[in-house]
Amino acid sequence: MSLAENIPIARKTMVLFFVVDTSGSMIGSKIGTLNSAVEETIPELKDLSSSNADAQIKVAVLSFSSGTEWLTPSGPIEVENFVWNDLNAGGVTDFGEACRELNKKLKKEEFMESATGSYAPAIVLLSDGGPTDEYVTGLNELKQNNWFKKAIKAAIAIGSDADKSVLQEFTGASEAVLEAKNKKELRKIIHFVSVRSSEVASRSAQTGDGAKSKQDIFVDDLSNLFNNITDDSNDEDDEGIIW
Amino acid sequence: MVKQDIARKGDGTMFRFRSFSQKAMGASHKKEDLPCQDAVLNYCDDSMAVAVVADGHGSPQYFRSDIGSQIAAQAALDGICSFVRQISEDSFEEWNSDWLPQLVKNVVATWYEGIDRHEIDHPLAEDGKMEAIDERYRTRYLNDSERQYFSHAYGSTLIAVAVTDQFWFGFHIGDGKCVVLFDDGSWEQPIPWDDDCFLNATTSICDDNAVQKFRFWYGPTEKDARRPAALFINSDGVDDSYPVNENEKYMKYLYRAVVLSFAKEGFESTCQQISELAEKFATAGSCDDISIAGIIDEGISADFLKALEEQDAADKLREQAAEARKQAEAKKQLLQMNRTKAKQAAKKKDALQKKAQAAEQGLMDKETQLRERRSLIKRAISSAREERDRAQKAFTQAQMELSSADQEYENLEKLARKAAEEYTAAEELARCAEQRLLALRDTQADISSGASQAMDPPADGMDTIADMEVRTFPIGDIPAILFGPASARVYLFLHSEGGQKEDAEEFGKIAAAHGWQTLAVDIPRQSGTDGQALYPGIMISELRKVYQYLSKNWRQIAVRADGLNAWYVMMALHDKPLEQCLFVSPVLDVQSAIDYAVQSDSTQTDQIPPDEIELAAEYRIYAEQSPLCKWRVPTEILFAAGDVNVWSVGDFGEPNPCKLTIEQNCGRAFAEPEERERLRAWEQRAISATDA
Repeated sequence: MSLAENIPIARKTMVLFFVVDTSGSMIGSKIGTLNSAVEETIPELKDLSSSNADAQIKVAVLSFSSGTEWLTPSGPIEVENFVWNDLNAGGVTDFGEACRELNKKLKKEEFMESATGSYAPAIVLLSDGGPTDEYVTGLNELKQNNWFKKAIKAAIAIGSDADKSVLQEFTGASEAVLEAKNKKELRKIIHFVSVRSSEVASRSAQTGDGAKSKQDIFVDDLSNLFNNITDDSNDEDDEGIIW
Repeated sequence: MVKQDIARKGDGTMFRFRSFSQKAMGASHKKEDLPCQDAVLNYCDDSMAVAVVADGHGSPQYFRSDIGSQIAAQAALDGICSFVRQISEDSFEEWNSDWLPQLVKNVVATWYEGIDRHEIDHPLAEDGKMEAIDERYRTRYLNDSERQYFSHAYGSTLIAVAVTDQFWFGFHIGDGKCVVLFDDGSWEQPIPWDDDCFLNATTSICDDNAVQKFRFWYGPTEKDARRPAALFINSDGVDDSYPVNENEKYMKYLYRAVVLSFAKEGFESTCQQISELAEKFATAGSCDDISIAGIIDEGISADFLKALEEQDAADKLREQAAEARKQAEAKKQLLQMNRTKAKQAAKKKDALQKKAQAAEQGLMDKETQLRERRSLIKRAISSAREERDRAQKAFTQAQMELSSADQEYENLEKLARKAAEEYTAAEELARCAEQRLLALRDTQADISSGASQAMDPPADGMDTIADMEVRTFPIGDIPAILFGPASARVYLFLHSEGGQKEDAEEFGKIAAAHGWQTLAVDIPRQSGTDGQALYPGIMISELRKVYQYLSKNWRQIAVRADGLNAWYVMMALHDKPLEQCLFVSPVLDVQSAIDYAVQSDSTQTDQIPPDEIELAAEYRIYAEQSPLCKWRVPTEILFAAGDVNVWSVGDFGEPNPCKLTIEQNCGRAFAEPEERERLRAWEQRAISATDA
């Protein structure tokens, strides 16, 4: 058996992180829509992963309210094997704690162990309020994390009460913060951000510090496509109830 | 391309190290029509083996990195060879730590000379690739009069390793890996890692302080020292094909296979296989350009190889176990997620079940309600049917009763008719009886008074006119005069317009001769004394009163009337039993008579009050609304020839028992003496018909 036949090559991996605010204010249609929207997005991510020659997509989910909890405690799961378990809401918004927990796992010895080469993770933060803990330290530590730096970061502000300035601090760009005003928009934005960030993050790209970063490419996509997401969201039905 | 030389040491002891190098163009570069930006070189002779890998940067602004990497690789190779030779010539005793920084300094300087020459020969400003780069970089390149920036276009990483009899070393800037197998079987990446190299970011030979960014590694190859058995260097395209975590482990597995292949398959074959492997990484791995170069000790012992194989087998087993553990862990996690999902589903199921139960209960309630309603409706239908049947029966019964009632009514009607007939007969009998009683009373009176009066009606006074008994008395308010001796038979005489009751005298004589009394009345209008209009209804009513009086006092009644009075008689007494009627110049058709009188101004109209056209109209309307009934009384009519009314006899005729006499040359009033004679003769003859 020749070397080429004998040497296995690992499939590259891209990890999609959902960082979800499950504080008390999410109770009701927000958490319900979020649950169903992410669950509905999983099949498309599966298709993307199976049809993507570039990278395998894995999913990790961190929920935070009064403390944090990984829904995938053993690490990211291949999206093909991923099962979305409905999140329940309740408690306060320990966003700083969530940043620290994310920072802890964004290491090659932890959740990034299977990441390869140039495939930075995609991190989607969903929140409807503002931090109730001291978050600045945690967020600053996280921002020093190389994986976080290179990651595609998007934040979804659920309703108008979400503290968008904090979300912008998290993503590093106001363009990467999308506001969902109702169920329909939340559903669409979750779908779009999850799939699109995964597409961009899992795509081979030119290397070098002068190349457009994947975050820049993603933000460009958001700017181009966000209007399409929200254009027809103002229906009078139940989906159109403003948060 | 495989570059290799077999070299031997000058003292006859074989120099066992051989170098090799392979590269392949990355699929992503092919796809984007970029050149292979990696450069590899190797060299070996009887005193040294050298391998170099340079990886030109991929971003557009490094558009000459393919040339930069070649120049870097060549500068490194040339620098190392020169350095090694220099040291050999100097017969150094001790390694000087300044040597490698100096060597790197020389290499970087040589690289700068190389790219400087290249740029002068091929100015960046004239390069078409400048168009494709970002504006900010283009500006920097075009404004680089101090030649401080142009080197970035040639940016590259660089890794070089060398082995000699006395020492081995390596230097490295940027990403890529250097992996060493030592003769004790251990694997290391001895050149320190630079954390500035992360994912796509890397340090470069074109960096301003590149010399300071180089990392070094040095070791002796003396007999007792731990010596390398193989050294491998590669561009990041190789290590990027493996997970970042435990990347060293994967690199070890890779290069251990290469070492074993060199030992088993031979140098040439393995170099070829490395070339194929590079292609595989370039197309199915990272898809980046792939460079693999190295130095291999060809004199490694069989024991070492065996140990290496055992190590490989053990690692494989360990790996399998780890993989199994990992899979088990993943399955456990999946199981946990599925369990949670199942719990959530169970909760949902419970909720749905409750909902379904509630719905079912609701349905059952509805069904019960429906059943009850259906039952109620059924009962109602049944009740309605019963009612309908009862009604039907009642209807049938009623029909039968109706039919029976009809029958009964018919019978009763028959009975009533019969009773009426019997009543009429009885009345007739009673009247006859009364007549007879009256006659008997008269007879008794005759006997007692010796008078010959048959009747004794109330009288104002009794007189004798021309030997005939005459009595006057009122019938109600109607003045009456009775001619002739008492009899059961009486003629009612109605005189003509303008006449009086005494006009009946002559007729009374004739009638008396035939056993009839004659009663004449002055019905107010007739008398000529009362100026009030006599409407037909009043006349008819008065006539009925008179008849009632007559019927009470006489058994047989006949009538003698003139002109319009004849019509009154027919209107008033058509249903009365009359023995005979004698009509003189009667008006039988009042409508025609009035029409004729009004239209022709005929003298004949004297029969109708001429000054009362309004009254005439009244008569006409009355006659129109009250046609004559069937006239069954035996009647004799006398007309003067020329009387317009004679033509109405045709309508009056059959089946009426009427006998018509027309006297020629007479006025209709029969007023002249001779006419009066003829009238008396007619009366005589007509009355005599009653004798029988």
